[in-house]
Parts: sequence; C-alpha cells; structure tokens
Amino acid sequence: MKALLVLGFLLLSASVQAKIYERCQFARTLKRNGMSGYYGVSLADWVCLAQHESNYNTQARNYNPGDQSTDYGIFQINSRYWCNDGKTPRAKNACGIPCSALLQDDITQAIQCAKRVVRDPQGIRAWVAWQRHCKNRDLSGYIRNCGV
Amino acid sequence: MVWLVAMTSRQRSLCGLAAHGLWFLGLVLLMDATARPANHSFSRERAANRDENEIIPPDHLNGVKLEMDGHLNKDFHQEVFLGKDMDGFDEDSEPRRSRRKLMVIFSKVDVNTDRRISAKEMQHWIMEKTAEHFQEAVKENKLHFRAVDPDGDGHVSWDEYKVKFLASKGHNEREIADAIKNHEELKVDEETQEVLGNLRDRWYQADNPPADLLLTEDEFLSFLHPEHSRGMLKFMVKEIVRDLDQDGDKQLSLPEFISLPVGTVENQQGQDIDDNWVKDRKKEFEELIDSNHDGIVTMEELENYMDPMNEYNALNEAKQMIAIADENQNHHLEPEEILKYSEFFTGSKLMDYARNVHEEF
Repeated sequence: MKALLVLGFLLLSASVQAKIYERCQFARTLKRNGMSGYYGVSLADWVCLAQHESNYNTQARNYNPGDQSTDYGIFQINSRYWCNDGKTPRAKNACGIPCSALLQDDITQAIQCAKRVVRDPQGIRAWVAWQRHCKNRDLSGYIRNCGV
Repeated sequence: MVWLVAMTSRQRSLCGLAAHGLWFLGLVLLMDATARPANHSFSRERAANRDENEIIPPDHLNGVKLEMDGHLNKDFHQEVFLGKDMDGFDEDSEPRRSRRKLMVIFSKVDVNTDRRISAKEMQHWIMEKTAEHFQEAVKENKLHFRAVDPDGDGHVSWDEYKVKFLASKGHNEREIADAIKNHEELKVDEETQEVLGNLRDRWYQADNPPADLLLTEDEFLSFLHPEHSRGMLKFMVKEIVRDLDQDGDKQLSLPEFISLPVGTVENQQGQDIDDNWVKDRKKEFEELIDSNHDGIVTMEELENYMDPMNEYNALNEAKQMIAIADENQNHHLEPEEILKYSEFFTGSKLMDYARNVHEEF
C-alpha cells in the first residue's frame, strides 16, 4: 500500500510539469486579466476558443510546414506574425515577445498577446477554431458553474 | 478567411476618395493589418468536432497516422482505442466514472475474459474501432453531400462545390455563382487560390470514370475521406511525399522526413521543442514507416503505414500500445496497467489513481 501511495504522489508531481488549466480556473484567470468583454469578446468565447485550440495546455505547440511557423501555448499563437522564436521565416513579432513566453504556466503574457491579436481588424476571427466551434453557438456551458 | 469580407466593405467606403494614392495606401495597410491569422489550427481540427455543414476535406482523419499536411497524428492512439467515444474522458469528468468506463472498455477488448489483453485481442479491437471511424465518416458524408447538392440530383459538379467552398470562406455565394457562370476570373486571395488548386486535384482523383467532374455521394466520400479508398489513399501519399521530398526522387530520406526550417533557435526551450519534434518523427520513421529498414521510405511503405485497415499495422500498433504500459513485461495488459497509463489510452489522466486502486483492493 505504501508503494502505491508513493506512486500516487509521483503521478501528482509528474502532472505539475505541464500546466493544464481546469476550465473554471482558466475562466477566472481570464476575468482577472480583464478579458471579459475585451473588444466585444465574451469570457465564454475565450474559454471555448482555448479548449478547442489547446485543451487548456499551456505548453501546446504545433508546427505548420506551410509557412514554417509554429503555434504556441494555450491560445496557439503563431510565430509568423505575433512572437519571435528565432526560426520562422518573415516573422513579424507584433506582440514583441519571445514565443517561449507563451508557454509559461503564468499565462499573463499569453493573455496580453491575445489582446493584441484581437485588436487587429479581424478580431477574434483570427482564431480558426473559434470560427469553427464557437461562432454563433450557445457558449454558456463553457463558463457554467464558474462563478464569473 | 473572413477578413476578405472586411476588406470588401472597406473598399466600398474607399471608392469615394478622389485620390488614387490614398486608396492604394489604404489597401496596402489594410492587407498587411488584416492578413494575420492567430494560428493555423485549421490543419489540426478533429474530424469528430467538425461542423455539420463542413465541406472542406480535413487534414486530420480519425484513425490515420499521418495528417494530410505530413504531421504525425498525435491523437492516433486514443482514436483507435476509443473509437467514436473519444469525448467521454474529459478532464472535468469525475475520475470514478472515467475509471469505470475504462474498465468497461477493458472487458470488451478482453474477448476470452482471462482478465488480461493480448496483442491479438488489441489488434481485433483496433480494427473494430477504425471501422467505427469510417462508419461515422459515411454518416457525416450524407449530411455534407446534402449541403453541396441542394437540388438532390445525386451529383455535385466541381463548379457547384467551388461556390459552396468560397461561400464557406466568406464570399458572397450569389456573386461567386454569377462569376463562374459568366466564366469571369474569381477575385480570391493567393492562399485560397492555392487551396482551390489542391482541392481540384483531389476532385479529379475522386472522380471515377466517366471523367465528368461530377461526384456521386460515394465519390464525395472518398474526396473527404481518402483513407478508405485505395485510389485516394495513393493520392494522399503522393501529396505528402511531394510536400516533404526535397531532392525530387519521389521517396523520403530520414533528413527529409524530419526536416526543420533553417534558422537559429533563440534559447534552450526552443531547442528542446525542436528536439522533441525531431525525436518523435525520427522514431516513427525508423521503427514503423521504413518497414524494410533501408533508410528510405517509398510511397508503398508510406501507403502501408497510413492504411487504416492494414491488419499488420493494427497488430504492430497493438504490440506498441501494450509495450508502453506493460510494466511486468508479460506482453499483456492487466487492469492496473491500463489505469496507470490511462493518459496514453484516453488522453486524460485519472488523478485519483492511487485512491481508486486502494478502494478496489
């Protein structure tokens, strides 16, 4: 039994390596950082978007062979336009940050960058997953019972 | 992308300006400002989560090891283990319920009820789940086909599809239909033009004789889901090889398969990301795709690797899945091993593992 308990603790410690937010935890963090209604985008929109982009995994990374860019973090923000990873051709870095900043457990910088993205004319439509899963849907379930 | 709509409406308001220079400057600034998607998640959308009226062939196909864009399908293990029940193991759901569900699956896989899973049993299960994904695709295809065949004559032409595709990209459906009817050049951006070209190639490939560019419902299914059509699977393989093949010899070397973009990585974390990506692809290349281990992947090898109904692949996959969780190395899976490695099988940790097992004893 002791061995199993030790195993359990090891599992717990292993899970700390990659910060994966719980849905409501994420919603509260967003609200605390002024995301509710930012540029007309509701909290539920942001939660829905992040679930479909990264399943709330702060260290999600996906490479895009097409333009040799990479999408980083809980919002899957792209290195071609928004951040610098030192290896993306024709990069712009509109958020003025290294892409590694988007992978941190503390998602403050990722939120600031997401705000910058949504201030562009296309707004939240910059996120394909939002268009395909969240647009014109009833999103109340994404923040249900979160107290936000 | 929808940003074209914004440009169109903005262009109208700019037409009133007298100075052409200002109009051009505005256009250039607008193009630069609006053509910046947050990411390219399009290529990674799960097929199971597609909208009902989805008419664009997905890059991601459930139960297929490589995406259409050459990425490894990181959800493959869960897809062939869970079948269409992939959404039942959300992080939010209670651990006890997830555990019970996992044990129900275990008892189904364990055909001879000896309380452990053999490679043969897992292989059989994988084949069953893969077929399940295909049945799901057939069902979805009826809806998609109905969306592109509104007159219900059982055929959809390339021109009809093009109208629907561009409408789904935010273009005005009537304007597009008129332009096509009058053989006018379509005003679409470069990226959409390229996608259309690829789609047209696939359309040609899916169009069985007679070559009339009209697709039936079955042909449309192979257009959206090439993995279960021999001809379309070959086409898919050819596309992937073409994308990755740098020296043009129509096969893939290890460097080609794992190639990363040139450039200096800025820090150690970036280097770690690259290393992980390369390591995963190298392992897949050497251990699985290159079946004769000669350092070269031919189109035939890649096709065998991607064929979801290949029995040899399913057995290999079964052995691989068992090996990952088989702690006592008896080449079988016991209930406690599956529970401990639940994240590998379901994509979701069972955080109360220790407590649950304690209660079981």
